[in-house]
Amino acid sequence: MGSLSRLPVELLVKTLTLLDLLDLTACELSCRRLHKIVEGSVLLQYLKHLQIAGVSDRCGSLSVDKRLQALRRREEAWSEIDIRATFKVQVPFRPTGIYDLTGGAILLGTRSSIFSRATTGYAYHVLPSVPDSVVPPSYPWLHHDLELNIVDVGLGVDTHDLVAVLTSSVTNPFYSTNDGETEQLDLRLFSFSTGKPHPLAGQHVIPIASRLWAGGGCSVLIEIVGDHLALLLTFNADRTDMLVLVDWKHGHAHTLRESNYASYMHFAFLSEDTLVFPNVPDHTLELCKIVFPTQEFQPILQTVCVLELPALGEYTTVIRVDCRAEPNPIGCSPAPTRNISRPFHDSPADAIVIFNYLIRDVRRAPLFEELYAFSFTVHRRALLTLTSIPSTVIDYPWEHWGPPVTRWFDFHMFPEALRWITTSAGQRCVARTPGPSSPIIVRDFNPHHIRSGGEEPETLKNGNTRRVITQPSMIDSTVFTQPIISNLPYTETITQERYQYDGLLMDEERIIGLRVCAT
Amino acid sequence: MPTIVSVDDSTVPGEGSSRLLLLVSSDNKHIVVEEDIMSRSRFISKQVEGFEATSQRHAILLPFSSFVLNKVIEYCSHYRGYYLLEDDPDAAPPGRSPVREWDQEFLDVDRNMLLRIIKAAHYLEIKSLVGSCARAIADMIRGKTTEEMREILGVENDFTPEEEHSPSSKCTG
Repeated sequence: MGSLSRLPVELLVKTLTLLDLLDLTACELSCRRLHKIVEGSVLLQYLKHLQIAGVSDRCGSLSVDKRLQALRRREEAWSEIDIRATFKVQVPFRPTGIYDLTGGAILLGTRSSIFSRATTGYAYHVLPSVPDSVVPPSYPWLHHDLELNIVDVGLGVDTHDLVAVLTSSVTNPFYSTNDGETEQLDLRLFSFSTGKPHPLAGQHVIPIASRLWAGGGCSVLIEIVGDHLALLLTFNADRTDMLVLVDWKHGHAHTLRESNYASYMHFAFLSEDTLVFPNVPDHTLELCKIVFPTQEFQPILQTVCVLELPALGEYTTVIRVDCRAEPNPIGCSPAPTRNISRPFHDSPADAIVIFNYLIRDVRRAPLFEELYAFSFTVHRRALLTLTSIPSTVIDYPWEHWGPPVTRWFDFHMFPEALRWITTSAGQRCVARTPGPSSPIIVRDFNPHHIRSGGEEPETLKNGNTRRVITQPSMIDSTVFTQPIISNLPYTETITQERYQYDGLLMDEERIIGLRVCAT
Repeated sequence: MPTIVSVDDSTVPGEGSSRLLLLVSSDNKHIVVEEDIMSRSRFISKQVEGFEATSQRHAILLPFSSFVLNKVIEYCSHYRGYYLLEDDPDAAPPGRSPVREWDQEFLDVDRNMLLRIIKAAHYLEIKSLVGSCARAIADMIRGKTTEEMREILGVENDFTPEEEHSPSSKCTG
């Protein structure tokens, strides 16, 4: 009988490139010859390393050999926090609270005058990359003033060169002044690179909601996934929330759900059609699927399962929940429309989701502004696995799903740690310690980077320390009825140097230290 | 390299609009096939170019059996006149060959046969067929344990017990 392993090396390599990491490893372990072939093929090594790192490739013209080297350098630099260059970016204006960091750019809200509180425009800055020369490149802040009240801005830079802006305008209906004023919310779609109306959007202003103006304003969270854009609107005065799905290319908008005020403060996409919503009153995570029953754009939101969180004590209130996973799934989008210099792109399917909880213990509240900050991390994949069982909605008690797949961190009395949510990229996240100066801490949840062995910190060549945490950790706080045990292993690197930043953010190629002026 | 023997053009029957080629398999079967059917094969195209230079027609000797050759001819006949990106010598090779349903059915053969087809396709330089065969082999291996893979690949575990425990650490990069 013919042995497949006797095929010419070229054909074997071609076949093996079609396998994923697990199959390739099993194959490599079958015999010496195959082991040698896999070890000896730069292409197979490269494909293996891409999967280990959880990234996809955008190098285009570079040779496989060069790409493999670049990938190894990148992974090593992150693992050791080997900072290759430092750039300083001044913010020559007073930003509003709106910000975003994605696709290698940072965006801040701007105001019409320093006396104004409202956001009426935004400015963005393409952040410098290491391949740039050591001289700080002079990317300017690009200003876009809409002269309209901006509720929030969402970015889909990498996939569609898209900036989505939700604007609010209050108008006095001319036919009846007794009815009061109406607030009109519109979604405006711009091209990130040109600032002009987006060329792929059939209509560049999409009406989202129109309601009686009751004051109090609204807030919104915008996430862009492929051709879809989800908006979670919170109306402060009406005490109602809305979740709207928009097909931004065709200009369709459809309300998926209306809910009680602040029931859902945040959400994140797990895949292009599955979302996670922290449900605040129930203190759970809801995993929901968007389904399209007809050809018309009338999507339905279906709750697939409900994950309970560790039970809260009697006298506690959740003040705020944020969650985020970066990068977003790209859906069935074609290749990026923008010229992207970054060679590697974190794969959305491997990314972690970060959940930040700010909780107040009401027993002490009036006297002390005592806020408890907790954060936990879980892989998108781990949550998606729970949605794969069909049939009815499944309710998972915390003990049944949480401890093995999550890792909790206690930022007790340090709510500032959770002020910014853009602290993760792929499977890594950045953190700091309280106080005016802090080391930079990078945590990596990539299971392939967890080497067996002791948890003893190891001192690296650059003086930084690294350790692997595989043991369960326990958080024993008065906020929860029981200690929280969590097991998700991770690698943690801590810089020797201390930095005086007010906040730390990260994206897939850099750590961003923020210095905030008191206002 | 196969040796080239001259043949008398008159032995080739049915001269039609497309010129005819005489392929000779390793079991010495003579198979006549229209030239444009086989133009997908870079190897045969290069042979034909050679004929034109010397203005002499030759039989092309191939180092595999008529059974395999007929299978390859069946593939080429099916895609006669079709443009497949992988077979375009001037196009940049695509990262991965697309899945073609007809090919999946066509290659639903035993392991031995699949092996012989991919070798023949490789020899004849038919990239689309090599790609589809590689995919079929990958599908056979996918999701199997190392032990099952040894069975499919027809290999023996030749690692020493010590080695068997060490290479696994390599997969964590």
